Amino acid sequence: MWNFIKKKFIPILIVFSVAIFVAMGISGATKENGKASLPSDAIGIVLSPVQGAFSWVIGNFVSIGEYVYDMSTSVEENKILKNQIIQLEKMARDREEYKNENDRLRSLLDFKEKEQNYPTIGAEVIAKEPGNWFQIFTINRGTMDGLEQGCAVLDSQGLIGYIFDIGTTWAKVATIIDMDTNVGALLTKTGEQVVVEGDMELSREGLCKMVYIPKNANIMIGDPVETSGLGGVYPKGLFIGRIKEINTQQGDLYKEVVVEPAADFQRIREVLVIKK
Amino acid sequence: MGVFATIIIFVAAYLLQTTFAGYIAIFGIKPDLILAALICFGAFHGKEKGALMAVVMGIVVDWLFGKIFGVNTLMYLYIVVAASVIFEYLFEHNVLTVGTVTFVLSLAGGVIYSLILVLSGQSFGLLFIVKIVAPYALYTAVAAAVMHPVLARIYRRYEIA
Repeated sequence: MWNFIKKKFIPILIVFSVAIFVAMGISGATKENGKASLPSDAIGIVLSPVQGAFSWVIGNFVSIGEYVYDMSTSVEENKILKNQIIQLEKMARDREEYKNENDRLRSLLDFKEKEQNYPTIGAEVIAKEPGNWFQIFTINRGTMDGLEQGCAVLDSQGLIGYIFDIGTTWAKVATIIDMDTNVGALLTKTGEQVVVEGDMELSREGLCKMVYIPKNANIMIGDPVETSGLGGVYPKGLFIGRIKEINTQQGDLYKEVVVEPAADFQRIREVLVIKK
Repeated sequence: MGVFATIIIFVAAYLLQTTFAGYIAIFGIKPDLILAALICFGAFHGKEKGALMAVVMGIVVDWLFGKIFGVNTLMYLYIVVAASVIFEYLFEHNVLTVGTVTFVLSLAGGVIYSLILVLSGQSFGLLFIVKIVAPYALYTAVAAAVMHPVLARIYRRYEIA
């Protein structure tokens, strides 16, 4: 059989290439985001514990290296952090005052505040997309844990992304810096509705962009951005990040705004998934 | 024993690519360890076996991570076949030629991949080639050059090259 393949290598190559092109076309036309196919799920079930173990070993190895490096910079950092604590304590006191005032004003207006309490489950990142094109990763939770396609994923810092493909014991997460991801958002300060989307070039730096910002919009660097709740994927009020850059080209109707997400996509290891 | 060693090599390449590669990213660019291992495999074993492994690994990557099924399979297949033909008829494979061929073919593969993404609706400027594709090709070439002597020993040890 091997001799046959060697003799007919070029025709086999052409036939196979055509088959792959057809598969690409079918895949694109019949793409059904959501539950993985049986073979895909089966491979994922077998691979995910192995990937998890590997990821754990490598993660700990990297942590040791980071610890050794951190020790050498800790003294100077300690001084800086102590000063920051003093400033943060003052900010916390000011914030408490504002919150109290806010509560009083809301009760005066008879405004009902909805407390956001979402059921969540913790998960570990076991694999990241092998290439440089997409910003997706795999977690070790799936339908067996009550998750489904479209569940929002976040960490202690902020929003990370959503589940776009799911198996029994694993799920693939598209991050907000992935070029195929859009997030309905709003500027916390002004309440203005915006769209945050991933960008291939910005994703290298862990950044994303905000689109359709009118030229005369009242925004500043550092303004916080959160999810708007529109679109049905992300609950309202999840912190996305802050505005990092604002550029306005002459003649353009919109500003070009770069958003720095709160989550550190380079070092994600544990995440929270919001169950629907 | 040779088949077992080959399986271990590619499973290790896959696991390292999906877990470790992110930690060695430079300015957000990761090397493609799977492609580097495939090119080395093709250099040692010829275009037929290289093509077979490229298809297997491409399908694994597309199945588990690909947003457009088949793109990685095709890219790996043609890069590995091209590399194998170059090493069979033009240059003897060594650290330098493997690195150079990997760089050129990864660059070409990256440009084609970008075009496929553009055709599927993505948009990015030509600087993308300079900022992302070229560094990716260079980094993958370095990985292939590092892997080549290591894999040479393994393949000779198990007499599969």
